[in-house]
Amino acid sequence: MTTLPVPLQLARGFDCGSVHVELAYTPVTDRAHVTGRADGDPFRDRFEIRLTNRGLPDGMVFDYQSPTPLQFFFSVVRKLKDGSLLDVTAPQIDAHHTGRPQPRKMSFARADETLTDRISYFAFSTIVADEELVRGEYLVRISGFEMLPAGPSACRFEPIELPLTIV
Amino acid sequence: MSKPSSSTTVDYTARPVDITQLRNRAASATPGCCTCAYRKSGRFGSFNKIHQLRADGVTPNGQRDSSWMGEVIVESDGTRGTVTVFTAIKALNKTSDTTSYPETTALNEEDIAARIAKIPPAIERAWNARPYRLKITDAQCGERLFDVIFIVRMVQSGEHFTIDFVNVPGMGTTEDVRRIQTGRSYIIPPDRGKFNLGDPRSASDNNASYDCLEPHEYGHMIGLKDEYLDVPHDRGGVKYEFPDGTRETVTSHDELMGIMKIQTARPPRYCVTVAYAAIAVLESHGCAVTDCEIL
Repeated sequence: MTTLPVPLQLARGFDCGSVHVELAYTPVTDRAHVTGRADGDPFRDRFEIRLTNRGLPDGMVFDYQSPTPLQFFFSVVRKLKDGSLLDVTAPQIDAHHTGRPQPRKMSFARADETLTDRISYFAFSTIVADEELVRGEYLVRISGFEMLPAGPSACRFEPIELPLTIV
Repeated sequence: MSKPSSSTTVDYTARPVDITQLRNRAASATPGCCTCAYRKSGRFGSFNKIHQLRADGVTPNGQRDSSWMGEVIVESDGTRGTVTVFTAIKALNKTSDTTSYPETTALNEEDIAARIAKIPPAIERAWNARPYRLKITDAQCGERLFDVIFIVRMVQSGEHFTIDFVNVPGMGTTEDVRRIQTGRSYIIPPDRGKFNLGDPRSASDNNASYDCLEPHEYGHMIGLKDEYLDVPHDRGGVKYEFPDGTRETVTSHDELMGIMKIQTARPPRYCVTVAYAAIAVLESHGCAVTDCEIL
């Protein structure tokens, strides 16, 4: 029996020039959180993208693209008992409401500073219908995209597949 | 804001007690009866009869009529009747929850209650303005004419929808916990959403000339999709399929489910999900509906 909350798990770390990037996430969640209906801290279960300064000048502005709105980057597939996969992704709200991906300006105030982009699991409610998020094993896929689209640290986030358990 | 037509005989002022009486009558209904009340409260699934289109105005973009929660009561005296669409909304004061909704400014319970109280009447005015009628034909009862009445109430329990109320100036500049613009109002099917009291289009303020936000969102609460042309988001209208087999493709911009220049629900197509819901209620009680026309 899994006791929630479970700690964040590092899924990937890589360097974009002078910026070190890490992706961590909560590998086990429950229905209340993944459907965005839980009371308490909505960021208990989350994705966390950490950008750490490894040499950018203090105050230098760069563009960062978060993998949001989710419908442009994420898909969710359920592992069925027979081993097959069922894509349960279905946008619940259209892009006019969510907006389109838009890089944001960021800068480090000092060396080794870490900036954190937290994406609550509540956001899953925008791309998967409630009734599809039942107990079981899932794969969360994040597509490739230009995470730091320009400048000396420009680089791409490569696609990733993250196992997720809903208990 | 247009007022309900003075020529109509529809009762727009049904109180909860009237709903209770309708429910009581529905409780004693017999299957296939032409003079009974039939009721369903709960989830109405997607009827798959509305398809939002891409900017080319032809290709479906995958968005279709949403499932929704509500109560539909169909009652008839044999020739005429009513289709009552009752929506109970539970309000959560999230105006101080800046973790989930950045930029929201706290309103106390008294203030928020006073503002929220203006919303159900605004929705009812907008949705009962036409008013809608359904001509339903079934094998046993023949052709009957039903007035459609929309009733919306704020409740503490027994809700169909739970709405987070926030108070953000305009659209805000950041994103909320679901990564949607923090000031933007929305519905997430089938039973929840967020309304921004700080949006100047809200019916909750004292500007009665522009009360279209919640009536627009109510359209989503009965499964409808946005109609406005939105080329940057590759969206170009909606295709409807009606119970009588006819179809309509709309790239409307001005109507209530568009940019809300027209602030009342006027086009027959806005009653399509209710029409399918009414048919489903009748058919689940032994009536074989052969035709339904939205008037």
